[in-house]
Amino acid sequence: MRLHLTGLGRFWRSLVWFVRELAGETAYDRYLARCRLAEAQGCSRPLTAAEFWRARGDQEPPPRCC
Amino acid sequence: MAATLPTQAEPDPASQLPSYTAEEQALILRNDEGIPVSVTDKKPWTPLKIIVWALIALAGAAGWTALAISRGERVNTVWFVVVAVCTFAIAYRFYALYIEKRLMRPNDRNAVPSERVNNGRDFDPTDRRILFGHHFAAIAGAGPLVGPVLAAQMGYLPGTLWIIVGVVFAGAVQDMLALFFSIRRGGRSLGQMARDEIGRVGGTVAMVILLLLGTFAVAVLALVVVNALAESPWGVVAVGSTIPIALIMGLYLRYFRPGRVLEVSVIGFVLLMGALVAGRQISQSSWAEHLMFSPVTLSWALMAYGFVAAILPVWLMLTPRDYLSTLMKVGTIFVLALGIVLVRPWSEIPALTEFASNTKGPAFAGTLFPFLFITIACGALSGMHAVIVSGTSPKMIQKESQTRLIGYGGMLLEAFVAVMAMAAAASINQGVYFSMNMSAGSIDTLAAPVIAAMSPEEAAALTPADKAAIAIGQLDVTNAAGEAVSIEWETAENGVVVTTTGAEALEQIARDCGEPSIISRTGGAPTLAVGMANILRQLLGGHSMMGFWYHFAILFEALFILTTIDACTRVGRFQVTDVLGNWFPKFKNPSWQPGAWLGTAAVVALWGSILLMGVTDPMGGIKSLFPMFGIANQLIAAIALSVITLMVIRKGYLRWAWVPGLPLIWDIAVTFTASYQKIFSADPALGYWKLWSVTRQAIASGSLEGQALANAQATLRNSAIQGTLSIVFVSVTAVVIVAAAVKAVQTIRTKDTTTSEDPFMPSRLFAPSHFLASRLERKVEKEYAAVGDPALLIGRRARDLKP
Repeated sequence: MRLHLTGLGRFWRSLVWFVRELAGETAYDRYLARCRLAEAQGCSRPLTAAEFWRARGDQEPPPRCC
Repeated sequence: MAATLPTQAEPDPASQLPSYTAEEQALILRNDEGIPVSVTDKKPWTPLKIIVWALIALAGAAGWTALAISRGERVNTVWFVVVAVCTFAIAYRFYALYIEKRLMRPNDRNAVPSERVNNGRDFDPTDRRILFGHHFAAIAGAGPLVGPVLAAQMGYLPGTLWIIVGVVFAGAVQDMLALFFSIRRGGRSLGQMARDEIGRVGGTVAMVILLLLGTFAVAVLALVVVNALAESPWGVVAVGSTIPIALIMGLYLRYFRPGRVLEVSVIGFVLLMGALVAGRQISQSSWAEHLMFSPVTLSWALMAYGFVAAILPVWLMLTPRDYLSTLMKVGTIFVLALGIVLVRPWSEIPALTEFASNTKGPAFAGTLFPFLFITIACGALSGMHAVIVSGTSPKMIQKESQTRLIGYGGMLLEAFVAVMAMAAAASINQGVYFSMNMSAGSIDTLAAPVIAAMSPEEAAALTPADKAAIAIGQLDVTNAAGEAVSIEWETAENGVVVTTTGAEALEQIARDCGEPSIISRTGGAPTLAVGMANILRQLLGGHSMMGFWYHFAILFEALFILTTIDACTRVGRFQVTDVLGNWFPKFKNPSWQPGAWLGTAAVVALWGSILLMGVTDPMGGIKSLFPMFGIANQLIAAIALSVITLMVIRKGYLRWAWVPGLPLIWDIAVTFTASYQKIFSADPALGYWKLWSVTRQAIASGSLEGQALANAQATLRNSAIQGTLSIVFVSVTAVVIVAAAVKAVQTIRTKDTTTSEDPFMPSRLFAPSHFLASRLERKVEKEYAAVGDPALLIGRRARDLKP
C-alpha cells in the first residue's frame, strides 16, 4: 500500500514539475541561481521578481506552426 | 524551488559520488577533465526485449491487416491507433536509430549551442522532457487536424497509410535532420543555413519564398476559422470571448500575480468554459441574430484582430493567448485519445471510395496522386517545421544524442494527432460527411437535374437540407457495403435513442450541435468537431452534451489558428520592417510606431487579400485554396530537404544522401505534379487557367446575368490570382532546388567537403539521451550534480540530482 502511495506521489510530483517547467513558472528561480553564479562577473544586484517578470513579459512569445 | 538548487547546498562532493562497476565505467564517456559527458548506449538484446519487440511487430501487423485487408465490413477506428503506435515504435527504435548511427553520428563530446552560449535566455540548456513539450507545442497546430478530415473523402486507408509511411520516411526525417544540422551550426535558422550552403542569391530567394509561402499558409488557416464561425452565434461568442479573456490574463500576470502562469491559465480556462456554456444561452436568445456574421464580415474582423494583436505589447494579448492555446492543445489531444480508446467508434467510411480515382470529390478536387499527399501535409511532412523549429529548439537542446527524441519523436507525436483526426472523421456517417464538405455551389449543381424534374411548387418548398439530401443522392459514391451513401444520424428524443435519416438527419445534427445549419460547413474544422463531439459525448454527457463538445472542438481549433495568425503576423512584421530598414534606417527601430503599423498592415494586407478571395470564391474557397496550402507547405519541405541533402553531401556522406534524398524526390514529384496539374490541367475542376478560360468564354458569350455573372467574374479574378501564385511558388522553389543541386554536383566533383559546421568544442555537460533515463544515466546524473559546471546545472531537475 505504501509502495503504491509513494509511486503515485512520485508520479504526481513529476507531473507538477513537468507542468511548472513547461509553463516557465520556475524562470525567476533559475535567473536568481544564474545571477548568484555570475556574482563575480558583476551581477551584483539581481532584478526583483516584479522587475524580472515584467522584462520577461516583454519577450516575444515562441513561434507557432500550423 | 531555489532552495533545492545544487548551487546553494554545498556538501562534500566526494560523499555524493556514486560507485560504478567496471562495465559501467567502460560505458561512461568522459572529457579530458574527467567530467562525464555521455553514456554509451550498448544494451544487449535480452530474450525479454526480443519478445516485446516481436509482440509490437505482431500487433502492428495485425492492425495493418485489419485496416488494409477488410472489405465490405466495418473496421474499428481503434485499429488506427494500434497501427500508428506500433509502427511509430518500430520506426523510432530502428529506422531513426539507423539514421542516427550512420548519418548523424551525434558526438556527445562536442558542446551544443546551449552549452556554448548558455545565456539563460534563448540559449538555455533545457531538460529533454521539457524541450519535447516545447517543441511539440511549437510544431503541432490545426494542420494535422484539418488535412486528414478532408482526405477522408477518399476513404480511410490512403490517408492513414500516407500519414504513417510519410512521417516515418519523410516528415520525421526532415525534422530530425534540420534540427541536427542547426545544432551543429550554432542554432541557425533554415533560411540562414540555405544562404550558407547554397550561396547568397539562392539563399535570399529561399528566404523570400519561405516568407511568402508562410503568409499564404496563414491565409488558408484563417479561411478555416472563418468557415467554422460564419453564421454561428455560439461559435462567435466562444471564440470571441478568448480576446477579453486573454486581456484579463495579460493584466493579471502583469500587475496582479506576475509569474503565476499556471494559475492564470487555469483561470483563463474556467472563464473560457463559462463563455462556452453562456454561448448556448446567447445563441438561443434574441441576441443571436446580431451574432450571425457573414464570411466577409468575419474576414474583416479577423484582419482587424490580426493587426491589433501584432502591434499591442505582447504581454497583453499574444503571450496569454498562447498559454491558453497550449493548455487547450495538450488537454484536448489527450481527451481525444482517451475518447477513441475508450469509446472505440466504428469507421463509417470504406477503406477506399470512388473519389480516390476520380476528380469529382467535393471536399477537394484531384486524384489520389498527387492530391492526397498535398491535402495531408502537416502530420506526414510539413516544411514549416523546419522553418519554425530551426530557430528555437537547437538552441535549447542539451546533447546531440537527444536529437532523435526531440526531432523524430516530436514529429511522430504530431502524426499521431493526425491519425486521431482521421479516426474521428472516419467515425462520421458518410452522408453527413459529404453534406458538410460540399460547397453550396456544388450542392446546387448536383441537385439541379432532380429539382428541374419537380413541379415549381415542389421545388420552391425545398429546404437547404432537402437540397443537400438530393445532392447526396446524386453523388457517385458508395459506402463500405457497396451501397449508395445515405444520411443517418443517431439522436435522443426525450431520452429515447432514435435514428433520423435524410434531410431530417441534417436538421437534427444542427439542432444537436446548437448551430443554425451544418450544411456546406467546409474547411474540415466543423466536420472534425462533429466527429469529436460524437465520440466525446459517449464519454461524458450523452446526447445533450453534443452542442457543448461540438463548440469545444471548434474553440480548440480556432484558438490554435488564431495563435498561429497573430504570431505569424508579428514575425512577418519584423521581417518586413527589417527589409525596409535597408533603405529607410528608421524602420530598424522596433519601437518606432509608424514603422510597426506599416509593417503589420503590409503583412495583414497580404494574407487578408487571399482570405477575402477565398471567402468570396463561388466554388468554395477551401476547395480551391486548400490544395495550395498543402503545395505551399510541401514546397517549403522541398527547400528544407534540398538544403539538408546538400549538407549531407557536403559532409562527405554521399552514401547516406538517400536518407533525405528519397523523401526529397518524392516530395518534388508530388508538388511539381500537383502544381503542373493546377496550372495546365484541361479539367476546369483542377486547372486554374482552364477554369479561367472557360469562365472568360462564358462571360464573353453574354449568356450570364445577375448573380451568375457576378460569380463568373469572381471566378475569373480568383483563378487568375491562384494560377499566377501557383506559377510563382513552384518556379521560385525550382530555382532554389536547382541552385542546391548545382552546389551538390560541384561538391561531388571537387570532393571539397569543407564543413560549415561550427568547430569542435569539448563539452562539459552531461544529460541522458532518452525520454526515460537508464539506471546508469541516473547514476551519472548524480555524479554530474556533484562534479559538473554549476552554470550548466541550473536547468536540471532537483530530484534527478539528489544523491
